[in-house]
Amino acid sequence: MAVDGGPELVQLLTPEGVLVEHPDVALVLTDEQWRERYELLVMVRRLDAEATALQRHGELGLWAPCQGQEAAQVGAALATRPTERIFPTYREHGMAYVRGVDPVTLLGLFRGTTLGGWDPADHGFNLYTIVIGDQTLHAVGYAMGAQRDGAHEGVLVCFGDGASSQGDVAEAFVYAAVNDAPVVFFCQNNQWAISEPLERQTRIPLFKRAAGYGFPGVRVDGNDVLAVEAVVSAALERARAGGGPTLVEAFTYRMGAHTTSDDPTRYRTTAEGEAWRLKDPIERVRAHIVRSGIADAAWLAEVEGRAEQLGEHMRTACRAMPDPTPTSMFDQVYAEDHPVMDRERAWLTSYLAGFTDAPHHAGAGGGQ
Amino acid sequence: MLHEFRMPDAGEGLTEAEVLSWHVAVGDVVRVNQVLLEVETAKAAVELPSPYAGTVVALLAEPGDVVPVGQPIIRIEDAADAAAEPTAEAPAPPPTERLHEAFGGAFGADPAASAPAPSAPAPSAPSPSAPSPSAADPAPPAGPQGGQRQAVLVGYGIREGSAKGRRPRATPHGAEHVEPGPPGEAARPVRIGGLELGRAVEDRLGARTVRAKPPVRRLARDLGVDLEQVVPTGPEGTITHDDVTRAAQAAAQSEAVPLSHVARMMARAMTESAFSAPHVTEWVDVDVTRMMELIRTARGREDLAGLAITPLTFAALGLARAARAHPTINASLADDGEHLLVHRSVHLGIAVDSPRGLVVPRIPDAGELDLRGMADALGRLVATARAGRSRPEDLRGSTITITNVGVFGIDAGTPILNPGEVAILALGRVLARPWVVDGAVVAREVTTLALSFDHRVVDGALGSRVLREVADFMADPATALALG
Ligand SMILES: Cc1ncc(C[n+]2csc(CCOP(=O)(O)OP(=O)(O)O)c2C)c(N)n1
Ligand SMILES: [Mg+2]
Repeated sequence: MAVDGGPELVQLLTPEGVLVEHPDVALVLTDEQWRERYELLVMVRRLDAEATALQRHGELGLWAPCQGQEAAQVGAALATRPTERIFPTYREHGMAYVRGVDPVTLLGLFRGTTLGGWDPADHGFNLYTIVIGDQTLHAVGYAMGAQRDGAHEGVLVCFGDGASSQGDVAEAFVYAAVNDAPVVFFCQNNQWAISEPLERQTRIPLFKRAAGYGFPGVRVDGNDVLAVEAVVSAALERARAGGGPTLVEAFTYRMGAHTTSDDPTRYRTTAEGEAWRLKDPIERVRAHIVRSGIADAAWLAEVEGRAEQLGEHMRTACRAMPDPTPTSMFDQVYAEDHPVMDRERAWLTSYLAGFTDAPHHAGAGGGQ
Repeated sequence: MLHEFRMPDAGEGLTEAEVLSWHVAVGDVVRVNQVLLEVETAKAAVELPSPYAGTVVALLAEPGDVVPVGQPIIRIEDAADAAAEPTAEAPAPPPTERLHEAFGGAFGADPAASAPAPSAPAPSAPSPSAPSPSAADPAPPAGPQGGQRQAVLVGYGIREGSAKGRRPRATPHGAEHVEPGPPGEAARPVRIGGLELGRAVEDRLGARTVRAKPPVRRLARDLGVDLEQVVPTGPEGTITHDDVTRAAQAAAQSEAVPLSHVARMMARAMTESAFSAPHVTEWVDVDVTRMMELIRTARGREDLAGLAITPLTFAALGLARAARAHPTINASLADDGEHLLVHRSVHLGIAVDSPRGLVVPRIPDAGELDLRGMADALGRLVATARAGRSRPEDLRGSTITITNVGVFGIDAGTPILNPGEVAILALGRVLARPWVVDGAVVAREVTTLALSFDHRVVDGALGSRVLREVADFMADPATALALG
């Protein structure tokens, strides 16, 4: 089983919570920054747990848990500047949280009441992309645009180990390489693509693929928030300076199910899960900050309290989330009024009005 | 306030779930997200956490019940007085425990197992020099199921004896490479790339799980085949496309036999001809006694031994000559429908029953042949075709055709034109029949000739004339050959 990241793994904080040095990568955080990172990790795990529970309560159609990948997501998102665009998959709840997207907004998508829910421009955070690997092409195009604007900014695009087998990703690599696109390909290798293990995607470590395309590849301990932030920061710095793309493989583990519709006990062992539990991304930070006196028990309890509040906020807001009107979908297609949408909206409105027991909201407020 | 928790859709689009076990009883005080019960859906076994805090008032389903999604399964009374504060029976876990408890899924739904802060490093701790974080951790009180805990380095208990009983069997911890089990043990867990795939489904349903890809399932549905009854021949016991087709055929009244290439060609050619060329068929009985005497004489001659001198030989000679004399019958209608392509030579097609089916090899320049030449050409052509060795170029380019139905013991038929040609002659069997000669009924050897022609090109006068000439030739071939 793939548990050990091998000798090329960049690690700055061991699973035991001990800081270690690396010849090429370094990042020193203040006490305040350590506490901020710890709290972010806890909040993300809590929001993920609450969303998973809300699915089981019958409030969500689906949820794709990110448990185990919090450090990879938080670390990478913190490495970006707020003005730099992130292109997520469907599992980047940690990045969404760092970018200030209210977790309740995420829930709308999984409850089926929105078609995305946030404006990418507001958060520098694109909409979730379900089509595996697609967003790598969008990101490379975006990065080439930034390059042509002379913007000196980097772009971060997420994808999974399974996505690495997609043609879209290969095309994105080629295009980024030959254009020196300022993009960081951030692959969260969580060892599984639904029920397909990593061994079914590649013969060589994923980060080594970059060499074939002509840009650097790095494998970082994806459960080490410090190392992820350091490595992605360096890669983004390189992109901003015109150095071109970098592949960062964050070696991590999907601790939960692929989605709430999946039962991982059918295809993977308890032993594998136990081995990864020992590398938990949050516990090592807690061990470090407690041991080095950065945080005490009282502060940790405060954080837990805030996490509980976040859970309650999500639960309450989710239950109160209004159903969309059937005609609201027409408002999302074009930025401005469009005659075809007007015609189809009018047709649906009159169709819905034709039912004797028409629900009162059916046709209401359809147009804008 | 009384809450009812309805059976949720724990997968996407599921309609029901089976209650496996209750983790709570009536009277219990429960917290939000405390696991209430385990259910099994078509996709997974899942633990359902409580949406409400309060006291359990009623359980509305028994283990084993299959409950539709949306139907209430438990009633919880949430009264400020009842359970806002958890009681001693259900002590509030520390926040971290609640956190871990909410995860469910593969690991860590067990609060005891996922409780933080072990008090001793695990024996397998990878780095003995690493200090245990536990000393500085806030000490958590024992969880609700406190008891024995096996501590490990960074805060997760090793989870033995999972309540779900889904731990795959006999997996050596840390085993890197395990060979696949012996073939045929489909129900055993399968190992790929060092990982064991639990195969919980197969374990539960036994080896007779129907395994077929969606297109095969679709085919089975379309053909009305019950996949449970199909014998699989594909890899790993999968049912293949062919398995389903075979099963459908076995069940059907008639058997679908694939057409050979030749048969498909025949089908296409005959359809094309029958529905594009308006056929007229005329026939005539001929007294061929003299021809048969000639044949018998020839058979006795040593210098003619081995030559195929038969009624077909004379029919071929007769038709070739008539076609040369009346070029319009040795022609094709041009694709534009406005020209007639009159062929300069008579390439005589002979319909032959070959092992591959009906083929029509041709005798090139048949109009130039004498009796020996025709007999020789016919003999070789038929032998080659019967051996299935006709060359493709021999099977193309005939301009007019004979079909010998007489060899099958048949008197006559209405032949269908070889596509592109405008006439075809059918030769019936030769039989002694009563025949009127000079007013008296006598026994003569008689055959029937039938000529089909394309009435777009050949009118009744021309068709009749050609048929009559062939008949006259066959009635007295010696004279015709001698006198030209
Ligand atoms: C183009 C495409 N093919 C297939 C799917 C179905 N699908 C959804 S998630 C997934 C696995 C993706 O695995 P990975 O890239 O490792 O990401 P992870 O889910 O592990 O985060 C697949 C195949 C899809 N959404 N899009
Ligand atoms: Mg993956």
